[in-house]
Formats: sequence, C-alpha cells, structure tokens
Amino acid sequence: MKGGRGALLDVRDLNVRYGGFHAVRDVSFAVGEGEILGLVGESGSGKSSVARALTGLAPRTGTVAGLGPREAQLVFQDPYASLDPRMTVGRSVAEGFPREVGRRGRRAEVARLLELVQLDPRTAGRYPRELSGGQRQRVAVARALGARPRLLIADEVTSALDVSVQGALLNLVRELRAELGLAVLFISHDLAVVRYVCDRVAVMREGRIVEEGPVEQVIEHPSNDYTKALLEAVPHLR
Amino acid sequence: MRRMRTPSALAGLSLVLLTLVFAVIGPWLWGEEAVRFDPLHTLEGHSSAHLLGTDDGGRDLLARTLAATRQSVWLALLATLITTAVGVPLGALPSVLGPRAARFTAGLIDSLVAFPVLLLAMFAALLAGAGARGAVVGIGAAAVPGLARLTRTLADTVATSDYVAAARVLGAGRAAVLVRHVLPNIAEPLILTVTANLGYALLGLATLSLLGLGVQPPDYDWGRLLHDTLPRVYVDPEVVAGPALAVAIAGTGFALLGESLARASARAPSAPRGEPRTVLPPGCGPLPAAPDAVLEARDLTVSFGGVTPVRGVSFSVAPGELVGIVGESGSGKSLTALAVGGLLPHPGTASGHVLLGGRPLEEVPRRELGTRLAMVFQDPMAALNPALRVGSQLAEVATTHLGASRREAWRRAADRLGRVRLPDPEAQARRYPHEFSGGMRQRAVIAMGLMGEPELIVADEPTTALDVTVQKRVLELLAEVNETTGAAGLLISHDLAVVSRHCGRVLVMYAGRIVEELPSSELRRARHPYTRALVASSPDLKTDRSLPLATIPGRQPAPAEVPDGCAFAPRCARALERCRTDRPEPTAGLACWNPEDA
Repeated sequence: MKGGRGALLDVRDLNVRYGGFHAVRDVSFAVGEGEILGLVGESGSGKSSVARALTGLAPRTGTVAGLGPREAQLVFQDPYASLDPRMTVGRSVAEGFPREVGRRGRRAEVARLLELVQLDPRTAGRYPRELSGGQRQRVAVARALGARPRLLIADEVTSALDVSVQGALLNLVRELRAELGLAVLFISHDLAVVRYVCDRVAVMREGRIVEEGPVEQVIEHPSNDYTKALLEAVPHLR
Repeated sequence: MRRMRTPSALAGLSLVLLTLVFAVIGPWLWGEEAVRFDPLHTLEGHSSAHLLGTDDGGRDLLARTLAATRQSVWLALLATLITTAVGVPLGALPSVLGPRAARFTAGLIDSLVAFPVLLLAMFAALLAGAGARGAVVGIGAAAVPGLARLTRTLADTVATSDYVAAARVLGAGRAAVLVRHVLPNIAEPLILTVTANLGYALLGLATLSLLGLGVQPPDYDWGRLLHDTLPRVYVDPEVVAGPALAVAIAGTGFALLGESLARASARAPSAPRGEPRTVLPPGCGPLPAAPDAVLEARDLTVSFGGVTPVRGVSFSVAPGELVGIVGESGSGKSLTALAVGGLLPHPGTASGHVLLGGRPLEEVPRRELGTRLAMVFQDPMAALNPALRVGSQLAEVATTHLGASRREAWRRAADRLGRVRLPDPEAQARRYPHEFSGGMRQRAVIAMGLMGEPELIVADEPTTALDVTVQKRVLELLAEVNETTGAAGLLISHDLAVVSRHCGRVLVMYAGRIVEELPSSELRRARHPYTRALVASSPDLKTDRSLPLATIPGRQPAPAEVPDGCAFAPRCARALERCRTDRPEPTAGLACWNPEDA
C-alpha cells in the first residue's frame, strides 16, 4: 500500500477449493482506498477464483476484512452472458439499488449511472441485444456501481472486446477511480493493459501470488523468474 | 415471426384454429341434434339425412362429432393444466431451495421420470375415481415428470449464467432470482412444450375413452364416440370417420404448432431479404499473372444469402512468406481464411478467384487439398477427435491421402510430432488429446497439417485461447514451419502486436475490405486512419500512462449496413465529403482519399 492510504480490503491466507482441486493457496493482499490493484496470471492461475471468493460465489477459507456484504461488486468477462436478455438496461442497472433509493428515485439514479459510464440515459429502455459489446460492458459496470460498492472487481472485462472498444473501457475504469475514489481489483491476463490501468500489481501462478509491488517496479524490474517470462512473452509492435 | 411461415407451422396453426372454432360453436349449432333420439333410424350407415350415419339411439354421428369438440378440447385443457400446475413448480423448486433440499427434489424428479408413464397414469386415475375425472387426472399426471425435468434443466442453465451470478453478488435472494431471472428466461420454451402437450393429452384422453375408461354416457367425447362405433367399422366404416378424423386433426394441429413454435424460437439464422445478390461466376475477368505466388486471391467475395461480409478482396502470398490479416470482429478476416481453404459454411458462397499454386481452387480435388492445405483454428479440440489417439489421427492423413501403409504412417506421425517440438514424440503419439495441454494440442494440429506436403498453411486466431508464454512458442513454430517447408502462410488475428512480430506483411481489413496493406515494420507509420487508430488504441508496455488511451468512436458497420462510400468514414476524423459518397479503391496498398502523412 502506498503511503497514507488506509487498507480498504485486507485478505489473509485466502484458500479456495473446488472438491479436490485447490485453486487458490494461502493468498494474502490488501487494496487501499482509491487504489487499483492488478491481478495477473495465466489461465488456471486462480485469479478468477479470487474474484469469485471475494464476492461469495466460490467457497473460501481465510480472513477477508474491511468490506461489508455487497460492498465488493463484480464485472464479468463476457458482456453477452452477464446481462439478462429479458431485462431492459434500466431494470438491470436498478437491480442492485439499495432500498433507500425507492421507486421514485430509481429513474433518476439509473440515468445518473448511465451518464457516469458515458451512455445515453435513454439507453435505459433498450434491451442488451440492441447494444454493442462495449456498450453492454458499460451497462454491467453501471449495474455494479448501482449497489454503491467500495471495491469494484473487474474480471477480464476487456478480453471479449475489440481493441478499439477496449481503450474506452480502460479509460472509464481510470476515470471512475479519479471521480469516485473507487478502489478496483483489476484482473487480467494482459500485462500491457494491467500496466496501463493499475497502481500495484500481484502476479499469480498455480494459485499463489509469486510477486507483488508497484506496477513500475514489477514491470521494469521484475524479481521473479515467472514474471520475467510473462513480460518476455508480451508481443509488441515492431 | 417470419420464421413461423413454414408449411408445417401454417398447417398446425390452421388446424388448431379450426378445432377452437368448432369447440366454441359446435355445441350451439349441433348440440340439440346430437342428443335427439330417433328410434326409427338406429345404427344406420351413410344416407342423405345422416352423412356419417347414426348410432344405437338414432342420433346423427356428424352432429355428435362436431358437438363433442368442446368436451374433448376442454378435457385436454384440464389435463394440461394439471401437468403445468404440478410440473413447472416441481421443476423450479430446486432453484429456490437450499443445496440439500434441491438435490433431494432433483432426485425425486429423476426417479419419477424413470417410472413407467402408463403405471403413473393408471395409479393417478385410480385415486381420482373412474370416468372423465380419473382420465383427466391420469393423463395430466403422466406428463408431469417430463415437464418437471425440462423445467429443471432449463432453470439450471439460467441459474448458472453470469447474470444470475451478478444478481447474487448484488444481493438478490433465491426467490428473487427465480422470479426476476429464471422464470422469464424459461417461459418461452415451456409455453411451446405445453402447447405440444395439449395435443398429446387430447390423444391420450381419446384413447382412454375409446377403451371405455374415460368419459361415461350420457356424456360423450371423440374417444367415447369411437368406443361406441368401432364394433361397426367392418359394416359401415363411415361411422368411425367423424371422431377418428377429428382426433387426428386436433391432435396433429397442437403437436405441429408446438413444435413449429419451438423451432422458430430456436433462433435459426435467417438472412435478411431484399438485397440483390451479387454473385460473380467463378473464372470471369482478366487474371494478372503472379507466377511465383503460392496463393493468389483476386476479387474474392463471400456472400450469405443477400449479405456480403467479404467484398472483393485481393492479395497474394509467396513461398515461405507468412502474411498477417488483422481486423476487428466482423471485419471478414475469418471468412476470407475459410474461403481460401474452400471451407465456407453453408449457405455461404464465394466468388472471384482463389489460385493455389497457379490452379483455381475449385479444380483442385478435395483429396489432394487434404495434403496441400493445412488449416489451424482457434480451438484445437475442434480439429482433434477426443476418442482417438493423437498418433492415429495424424497417421490417418497419410493413409487416406498419401496411400501410406499403417506402419509407415505411424512413423511419419511420430516424426512430425517431433518436428513441432513435442518432447518424446513416440510416447505422445500414443496419448489422447485430453491428456495434452492447450499448447500441445495446437502443436499436434500443426503437425497434422505437416503430414502432407502443405503448400499453404492458414492459421485463424491459432493462439487466442492460449496463454502468452505458450502463444509465443506456437507462433514461432508456425513461422519456422512456414520458412522451412516453403509453404505460403496466412495468419489471421485480432492482435496487431502478434501479427507484427511474426509476419512480414500485414493486410488490414475493415467491413469486408482490405483497407491497407503494408510491411509490419511500417505499422506505426501506417497511412490509413483506421490502421493508425488501431495501433494507437492498443496499449503496450511503453504506453504513456498519464494520458487517456486513444479510442475510435462509433462502431464497424454490420455486413448488411456497409455504406456506399468508405466504410470507415463515419468514424474517421479525416473524412472528406468525397469519402462518404465514393469508395476509395486500393492503390499501392492503400484505400483512402485522405491518408495520414507517411
């Protein structure tokens, strides 16, 4: 954690087991207020299991301190699967509203959230099938924000999107942090994307965190061999 | 609802409407005549007064058949109501209960399904008492397990979806998830099933009444009429015709309608109509010779019905060269690859020219194509049979296409697995695809392509499903294979960096056309605004973190909406008036009226 910021989320010795499969092994990390922590790793490294465990979708052991129920919200990888096809955008976004919003405030709150993710408030009356992948992913972000989370968990949110759309969503994540002071756990297999978005990064392999630190340090001067191999493999334009 | 305009759907709909009309008007118009005794004309056959004859009370059988419509349909409705009222809640129950109770209910449904339907129906009928009531309860109960299981399977699919996971994270309880997400998403298939069930219930009830177990006199339905007239079928066959035909019409109608609705909702892809088809006959137009090219595509166009996702694409690949095609989803890059391999899915048609080694593709026999062309797709499991050993699958290429003996073919397979750098190739050949990792499978597919003497290797997003560390090695292998065999290579990818690292030359596709062709070392100095924008919006390990990423506003037009002018113009900051009306033809590898400075 960087100086001055208090820990919003403190995870100690997190373990996730699916039957005999040990997906996450003794993972500990902290996310500060308004901080973006990147979690990188290859498929099967356990990074998505961490996201599911923190949001109650996967069984876990260990201590998770700092966040109340529903204060961590999840945005999924595939915007075509994460929105109910029979719900209007407005109903989806309002799904996680706290009770105090009430019926009357609902419409205004939906419009406010849609504007926050840079969508036309009139999108509220449309169905997911009428939207592009990038627009759907914005709706999914707005829906997560509707529950007034303190931590947003973004699980491979740009993997299903085209390059030209990906940039806009990454900009949005950074703007949300700047405007709302939102903390983000940003999960991705793409080191270039993680480097661009995150303050700190943790590298996972086979269920464990093998290296963690400020993003410049991990990318410029990796200490772990696996991190080095990952960085080596990132393709870049000639 | 265009998909409902199939003959079977129309037939089903008209039969059902006909049945419903008679159910309403039947008893009004013929109700009295149907019960009028006429002791002078009992058990008669066809006559002008009684078209279908009379029964043992001298009552007109045509009138009785028509008047019985309401009773028959009404009973079928009641039975289906019972099925639905019990089956759907039973099947939905596991979604609402806790894990243990859910498992118990699911087990109960499964054992009910295993229970013989006829026994179930008879048991339920016995409990409910004889006559129409017993028959309705029996037929209704018999269909409960099937509907319950269908409901549970459908509900399960929805319950494991991402949007239900999202709802749970947002704090929705099980009941809220059921009402908000599960039921609305399974309603459609359930309604279709229930419609078809109506037909089956109608037939079932008619059968029970025919056996004398259903409706009892003085009431009558179609089954009861059959029961009364069947003994006379050899004397006056026409007396059976009325009720038999009625049962057939109504039963078939409901079943047809239900199944057509189900098929229509299964979202068959339908091509938009109205747009004229532009199909060139193969082999027309002048052919500039490119003698050294292994692969040559000229004016390649791919159409699906009236939609044209690939529009006049031309390029060539020299021996040993690996050419990249990049573009976003929907740009037509994968269809170009499939067309080049002669593998367009039905009903796609290709026009223009594809020359392989100077010969038109359509003249190359399929058998020969198996060894001259190698295709590598995103999912290696699509190319590997999970039930066969990897070695046998590779060997098959040699035995079927090259006429090799089995032992020879197996040796060749092991050799090729070694060439794609799988350790201990002899042992790997004896393993099954599921024992391989994703990277090893993709190597095996490349090895399969090397079993012949490929002149062309087409790889469509070969590493998109693989991890970066594996991706690099597979692509290096592909480039190496290409160089050493002297084959022409096409690498299709959405990832500019991947293409620039491994290919010498890049074709950039947008909305079905090649907008720019350039050496990959020139990508940063690309002249087409679209290529520039693509490069600028992909972050790499040197991107300036203090600035927002470049983005491209708007979206790529769908194949049916491609405008007359430059397809990129609506999103392009440099677009001129001319760009919106005139399409720029590619000249010197660039299709743009107002390119960026080099």
